Amino acid sequence: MAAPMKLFFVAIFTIIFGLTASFDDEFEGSRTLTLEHSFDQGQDPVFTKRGTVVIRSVQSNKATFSQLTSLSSEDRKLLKESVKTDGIYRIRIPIRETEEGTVYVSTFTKACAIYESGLSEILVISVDQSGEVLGISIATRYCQGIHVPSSNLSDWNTKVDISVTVTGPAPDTQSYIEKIKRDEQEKAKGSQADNRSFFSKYWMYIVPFVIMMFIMQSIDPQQQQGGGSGGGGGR
Amino acid sequence: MCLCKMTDSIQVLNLQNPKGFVATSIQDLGVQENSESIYWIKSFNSNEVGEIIRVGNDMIVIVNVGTNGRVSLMKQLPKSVIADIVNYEDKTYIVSLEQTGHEEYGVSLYDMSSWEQVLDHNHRLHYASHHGLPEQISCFLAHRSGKIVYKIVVLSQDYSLQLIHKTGKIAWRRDEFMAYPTAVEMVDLPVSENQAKFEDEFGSHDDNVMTMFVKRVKTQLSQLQTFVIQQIQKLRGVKHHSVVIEEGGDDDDVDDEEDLLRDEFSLHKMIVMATTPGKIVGMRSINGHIAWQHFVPELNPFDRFGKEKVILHVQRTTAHFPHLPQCVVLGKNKVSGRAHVFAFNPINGQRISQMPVGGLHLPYNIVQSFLLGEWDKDFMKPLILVDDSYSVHTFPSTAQSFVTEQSFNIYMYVSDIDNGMISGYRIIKQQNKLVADNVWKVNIQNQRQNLKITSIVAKKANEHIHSQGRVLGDRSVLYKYLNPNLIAVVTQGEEPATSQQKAYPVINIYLIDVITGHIIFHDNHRKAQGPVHVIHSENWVVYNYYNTKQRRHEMAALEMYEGKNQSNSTVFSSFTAPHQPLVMRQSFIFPLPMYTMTTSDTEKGITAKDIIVGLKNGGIFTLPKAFLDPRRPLAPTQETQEEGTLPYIPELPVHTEGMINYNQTLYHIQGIHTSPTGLESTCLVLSYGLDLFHTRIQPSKMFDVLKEDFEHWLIASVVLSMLVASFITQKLASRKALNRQWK
Repeated sequence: MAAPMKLFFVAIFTIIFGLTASFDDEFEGSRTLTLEHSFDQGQDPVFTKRGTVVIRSVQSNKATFSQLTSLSSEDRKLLKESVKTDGIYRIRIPIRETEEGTVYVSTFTKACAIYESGLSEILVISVDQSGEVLGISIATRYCQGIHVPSSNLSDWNTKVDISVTVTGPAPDTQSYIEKIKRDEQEKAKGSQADNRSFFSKYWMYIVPFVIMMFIMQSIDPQQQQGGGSGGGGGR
Repeated sequence: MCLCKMTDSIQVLNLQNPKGFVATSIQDLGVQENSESIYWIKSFNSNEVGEIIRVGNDMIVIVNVGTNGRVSLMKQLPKSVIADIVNYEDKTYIVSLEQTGHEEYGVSLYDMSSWEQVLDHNHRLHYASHHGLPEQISCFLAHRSGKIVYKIVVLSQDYSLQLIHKTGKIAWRRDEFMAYPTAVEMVDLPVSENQAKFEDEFGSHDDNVMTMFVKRVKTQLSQLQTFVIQQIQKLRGVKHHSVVIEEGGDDDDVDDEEDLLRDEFSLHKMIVMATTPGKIVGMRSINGHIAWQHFVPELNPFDRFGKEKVILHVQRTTAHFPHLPQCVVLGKNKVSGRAHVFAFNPINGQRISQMPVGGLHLPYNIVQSFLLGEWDKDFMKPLILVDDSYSVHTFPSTAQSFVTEQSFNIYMYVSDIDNGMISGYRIIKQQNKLVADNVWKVNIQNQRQNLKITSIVAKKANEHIHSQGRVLGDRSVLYKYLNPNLIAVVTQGEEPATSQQKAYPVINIYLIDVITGHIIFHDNHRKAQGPVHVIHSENWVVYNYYNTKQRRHEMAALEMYEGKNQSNSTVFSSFTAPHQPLVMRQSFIFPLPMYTMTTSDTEKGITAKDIIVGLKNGGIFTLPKAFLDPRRPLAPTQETQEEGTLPYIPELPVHTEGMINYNQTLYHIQGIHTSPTGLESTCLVLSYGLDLFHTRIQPSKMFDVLKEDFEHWLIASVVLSMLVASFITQKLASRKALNRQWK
């Protein structure tokens, strides 16, 4: 009794999970791009296939790279030679077929960066909102001149980042108008409070002033009398 | 009737019954001239009918085209450069200008019926060769005391207009080429020779003590000499210069101007301007007088993004005595479309040695050109030219070896405007030549939206950034993302109409690093339309566009920061830069439409920046950059008040106090050029277009110069009297103390 119930729940769970997972996609299905690379240093380099990049979701930055084969020994030798001559490592992705040939986006980086990181790098693919690939670039670390054993140079450890075109900024008039409204309301409320009578606001200052006046009055006449009599007596 | 330049013939087509062109070659008409070009001047059909044609550079031919299509020669005027028909008192005259000597023309007036010279003596006028050939003249005749007198207006190839009257004198001249600028640059003036020698003394490192001492004594003796001469001149009084305007003299105030020397604060600069008719002119920035002119008619501008531009670079500034400063202008050759280069000294206008008069015509088409950032041992920055086969040339060609040394560090980019692709290249050496190797490509094309690149803006090369970060209200530092290799690319397109909505225009902005092709930031504005004006400086980008939905102009500001930690404080490399900097953005409403905008520039970058906007209502408006700060908060808190950021108001204030051109209106502003001066607080602004306007602005007020009413003598006397008083009172006090002791 428990087993069929369990199976039933597992089935429902997987169905719901599958459904919700597919809601993540921004456009129909996922996008697959082939990645090619080259160690040639001169003009007109020859590219060979390195692997594929699968973009599963653009908005939540989900993309993976799977390599076709690990680095062959000739390629490893080419990489080591290009490190010695401070050469470059190129990659490219074909995006469109036209009558004149395939249109690629490509980039390059220093070969020593690929060598020293042990074939681990971050690929940044820029796409626009409809999913068309704009460009690709490699983010690496500094070249420090360390030596890497050949065993580290076999499999690609690549992370793929997707950067998508954002909507440009627009003047935020709504929130500003709301803020002005709020300020005006507060001022209106505040001014209501201050509509008490003048005396009730400033009694704190008027009363001591009046007391002082009385005291001064009472002191001065005495002094005047005393001063006057003193003056009269003095003559 | 048409003139065919290739075969030197006149082709006539009868419009009533067109059968084809009938050609008559010039030689058939009896003209022996071996001409390079024929040029139609005018046709006339009042009393007589005919055409005036200029053949070659110095022959005028007047022909008559008959009804049967036959061309007959009426008159040949040898040595004439230009002619015109005038009707006066029922007679028809031909007035012509003839070349009578170097830079001299003679005026002749012929009666058309008898072909006799009417004027009694030849009138000569001085006509500088830098005006090119006259294109058109127009003449008025009158009788005065029995003789015929004339007034002739001459329009020359360099767009300048002159009035000649009274036996060949020039009454006025208007240089209209200044309304068609294609490139503008401001160059510092050189220091005086004494000061240069002074700096030379400190400059040389490999002299021993004795030679340095001798140099110093020599410099001081020459300084003493100039001082004595100056004092004598002052005692004598102002010299009276003879104010005689020579007959048709161009430089009427040469004697009154001072020498072109740098002044105390380097406020006087030489403005170098290249114009559409091929005129390159140097003007003094103090009064706008023309110091020198060159006419290079072969140099045509490039047509990029719908505007005509030539490339003008300062290859060597005036700061390196004894090397002369050098500027280079790069354009297209009028005839072949290949590169055409002209290099000259911007201070006195002389061509550099080995530069032919009309400029150097190079045998290749230019794809990209730029000035190298490093200078060689002669302090000259070579101009690198890449031709359409992607091989690299340098100007001057002797700099090729220096460029080869530096080639490991040179990268460039080329943009394909129509296809929306930008490609990057590095310079490598291949078989002893330098070639450009494609290393990255970026695709910003969107087929559906049909995007076209409309502008690419990079930072100014000699800009100084003073602080590495921004201090926030809580005393922490937000470090700026300062990438010198960044360009801002603007593309415009249109989203096509669908069933739910109409078509609307879109604008995309991309910030691309040109070394690796990495797109740092990209955003898009829907229902927004150009023209988009962009300023890119330091770590920010400000751009202006028109919002079609709200029907208003908006200005957006982007600022890039690395964050609270700085990635590398010593050296920047695009390969290892942070690949996702924090981009803060905000947008404002700008109430008025504008022609162009730019930012102010100072020598050390300490002064706050001002955005200078050329408005379409004729004013030039300066707005402090603090208004365009993306961190402007809606609700000011304690922290933001400490920082000093203004609270957010969606509209930018445009008030008349910010207009720097007061009551003078400037329309059709093509560009505004700013230049730093010796004073940190002051920036020079030159607006060019239909009119030229030059002024100084002080974005943070004049903080580094004492005001005129500073009481030097009062303060000095007060300080002195205080000293004296303290001294005296000390003495008195000690004496009193002593006396008290004795009591």
